[in-house]
Amino acid sequence: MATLTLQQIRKTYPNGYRAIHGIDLTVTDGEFIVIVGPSGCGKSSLLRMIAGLETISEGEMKIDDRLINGLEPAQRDIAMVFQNYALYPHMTVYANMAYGLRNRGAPKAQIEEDVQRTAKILELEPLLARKPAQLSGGQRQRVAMGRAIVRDPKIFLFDEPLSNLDAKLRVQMRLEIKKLQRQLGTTAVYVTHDQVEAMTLADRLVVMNGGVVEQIGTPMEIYERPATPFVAGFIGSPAMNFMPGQLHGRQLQMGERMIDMGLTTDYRGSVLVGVRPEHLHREAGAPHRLDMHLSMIEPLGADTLVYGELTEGRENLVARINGHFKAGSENSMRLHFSERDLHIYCEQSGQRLN
Amino acid sequence: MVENRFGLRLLSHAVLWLGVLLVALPLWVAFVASTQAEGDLVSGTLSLWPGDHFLDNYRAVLFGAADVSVNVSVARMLLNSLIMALGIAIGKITISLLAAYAIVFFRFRARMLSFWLIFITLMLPVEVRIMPTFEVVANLNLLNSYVGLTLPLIASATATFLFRQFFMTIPGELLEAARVDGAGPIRFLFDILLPLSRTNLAALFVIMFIYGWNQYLWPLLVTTDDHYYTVVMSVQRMLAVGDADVTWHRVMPATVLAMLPPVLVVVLMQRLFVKGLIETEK
Amino acid sequence: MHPIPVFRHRWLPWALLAPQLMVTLVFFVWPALEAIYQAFLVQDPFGMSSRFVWFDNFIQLFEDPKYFESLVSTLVFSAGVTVLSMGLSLLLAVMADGVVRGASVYKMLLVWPYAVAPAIAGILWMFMFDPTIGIVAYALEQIGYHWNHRVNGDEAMLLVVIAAAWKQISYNFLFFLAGLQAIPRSLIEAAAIDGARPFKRFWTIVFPLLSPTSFFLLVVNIVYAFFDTFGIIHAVTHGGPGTSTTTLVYKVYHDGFIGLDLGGSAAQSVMLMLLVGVLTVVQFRYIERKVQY
Repeated sequence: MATLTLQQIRKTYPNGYRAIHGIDLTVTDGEFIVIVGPSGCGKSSLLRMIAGLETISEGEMKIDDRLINGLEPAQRDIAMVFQNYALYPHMTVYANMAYGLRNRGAPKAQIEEDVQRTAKILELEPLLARKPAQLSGGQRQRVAMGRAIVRDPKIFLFDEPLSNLDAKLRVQMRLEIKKLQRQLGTTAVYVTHDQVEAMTLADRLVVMNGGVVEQIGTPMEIYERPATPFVAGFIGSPAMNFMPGQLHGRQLQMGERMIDMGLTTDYRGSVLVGVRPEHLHREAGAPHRLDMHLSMIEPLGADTLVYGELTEGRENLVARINGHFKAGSENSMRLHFSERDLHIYCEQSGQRLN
Repeated sequence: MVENRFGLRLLSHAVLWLGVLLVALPLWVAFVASTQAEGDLVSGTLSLWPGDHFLDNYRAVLFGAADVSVNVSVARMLLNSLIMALGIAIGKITISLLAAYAIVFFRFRARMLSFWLIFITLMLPVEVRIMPTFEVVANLNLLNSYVGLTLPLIASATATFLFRQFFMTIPGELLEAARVDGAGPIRFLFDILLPLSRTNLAALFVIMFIYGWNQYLWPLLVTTDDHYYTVVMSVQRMLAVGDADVTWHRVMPATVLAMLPPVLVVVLMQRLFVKGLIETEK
Repeated sequence: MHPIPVFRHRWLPWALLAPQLMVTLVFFVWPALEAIYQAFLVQDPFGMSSRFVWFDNFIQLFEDPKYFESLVSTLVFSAGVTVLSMGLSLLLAVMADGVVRGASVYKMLLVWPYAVAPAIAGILWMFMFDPTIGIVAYALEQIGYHWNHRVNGDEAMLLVVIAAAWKQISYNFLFFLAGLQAIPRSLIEAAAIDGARPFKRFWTIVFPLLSPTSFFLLVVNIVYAFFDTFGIIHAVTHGGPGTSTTTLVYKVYHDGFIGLDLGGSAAQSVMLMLLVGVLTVVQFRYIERKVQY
């Protein structure tokens, strides 16, 4: 039962580099929060500040009602799963899991019981006597999880824990982490640069860029209504298409075309118009259309990605077409879209306008 | 060699055997001499095969006074040497390990200054500062004591650097994991770092034990009481007989006994020894 | 992006460093400063009075033909030890690298002299060359050469060179062998395909690739010959006959402890410290290229 509150958290390194520019975030009890962003965006620094591995330059951090700014990691009642697992190489799996409990002076019988129970949850029982070097990557990952779980902490912290696994194992462990967290009901903060991990694991996503939070929301909120062009471009694969446009009150002008967006904004001027590849259709069901020159086709099996240039304007464009698509002799194609699927941002401020 | 020619291989083995024999010859001759009767070692030609006084000679020096000029048994000298070698090896390793730990895992003012101060000891071997070091030890009243034999020799830049190098290869995440698990600096040192340094410790111990055992000039200076003589320096004392004849039937068993322990250590722990040697010089 | 994680503690790092620093300051830095100070004093042998004389001790040292002789002896000794020991070790290492079977056995049989103290090594060889009962001296007598290192300075020098080189063979052998084994097999095979015979291959491929090891060993051997061989000289020749085997390090000891010329001995110490300083810097220049600090 724990909530985590961050108020105006800032991080400035001794060399003057400002990694984090003031973050407010409240993680409610039992919530699974994923912090996602490109490398260098400050997400790891933020996680390490929550863990107590880095000092907080400014702001307040609380677990429940307790201010934790000055506390040692061990006093914060958190547990962390590291990117490279950080298992103690000379200790057995059992000793690795027991180490934190022993340091807290837990009685032997209690330690035994906790480790056995955790091992059972993670199916680690046959491995308890082994050393980390004798384990596979997936097994090490499990032990790292076990070491976090066994302490029954208030908050789990994950620092890109799956980045060292191969693709198949990563999917499997992803599901397992989610299941475990649900089952235990422990608040979790998870850092990753992988947007698929982020989308699938998170109750709420925090998208960071350049030391600031761009948007906080559920995965679907973020996918459907990205708050800034950065979020729009970062979440979703292939990335969202952007085209220039002009907004005249309700009306959006793209090239020769006028689209009635039904907006109530007063803004008039240049805008960025975004549309996701999957919202460009070949079927003529949607009201608006555009033409593109084809340059490349990537069949993915279920879908086909079609790359090309907008006929008017020459912007690069990607469309995700359902099913199989065979290019004929024609080198251009017509795509249809609905005004509901457009994302409109002010060109200067990046503010979302619809 | 790429060619696997018989002649070339034969030559290689022949040269190597010659080398082995050349290297072993002085040891063999010393051993042979240590088994001869007193009279056989005064003049004439020495036999190349052991004599029948092995037990007599060794028993005499081990348990009686080693010689007329050195009034203490070789057994006692061996004990002194052992104490000195262990003291130096353990002392060097302990203080170097702690110093390297401080330098790698803490940030504090004068960290680099301390590092350079330790580095300077590389440039100051005992041999070049004999007189003043002797004076310091004399002023501290440490002549003729085990402390005087060991303490001045236990500062070690080499060992400190070795540990520093090794500590820097420890992944930072391990330290962070330990902190999350509630381990402070002392716990981290004993629970994580020391167990991980085991091989390095052992390898360094072998090298430092030999270094300590083979000390010569220092014990020569700080011991005047026979009861603190180490075996390596005593052999020389046994030779310093002025115009009298050297009592080889006593010197040679003492010589063989003086080199036996370190040679055994090298032969029995060859893998650790080679590792230690190569690592300390990197 | 993140620096090496560290602990934060006010006094613990100092407590950890204290033993090493104390020993260093009391037994290394203080005596070294003392030596430098004494090098500028003239003291009567009983230490009753002393006088500051600026560089007189150094001037005296440089004007003393004995000091120059000692320098020459040291250079001859070091060159002898280095050439003899490195030459033999290289030969043995090349052979051991070449044999398919038994390399580890040879290694074991060749490394043990490392464990023998220099003084003991000296005594072993002194016994072999003993003019009355030594077997080498006896063998020389048979071919008509009368050996007596107690009166012949050149023979005494040769004897200490042999003893010092013998002890150092194992060390050089191990490093040469490691250096040889680190040369990629494919390079030697490529040279063989290019038609180079074994001997030519050694000089054109192996030897150049071994040069970092050789350079390193050269420095180590010089340092060894200069400073670690006091025991050999002291046990075997006491610097004699005359001053024929008085090396610089032996002279510091002799002038200080036997001659009780504190100022002169201290001036010599200072000179030696400068020398070790230079050698250490050279050595670390080499290491810097290999290891990142």
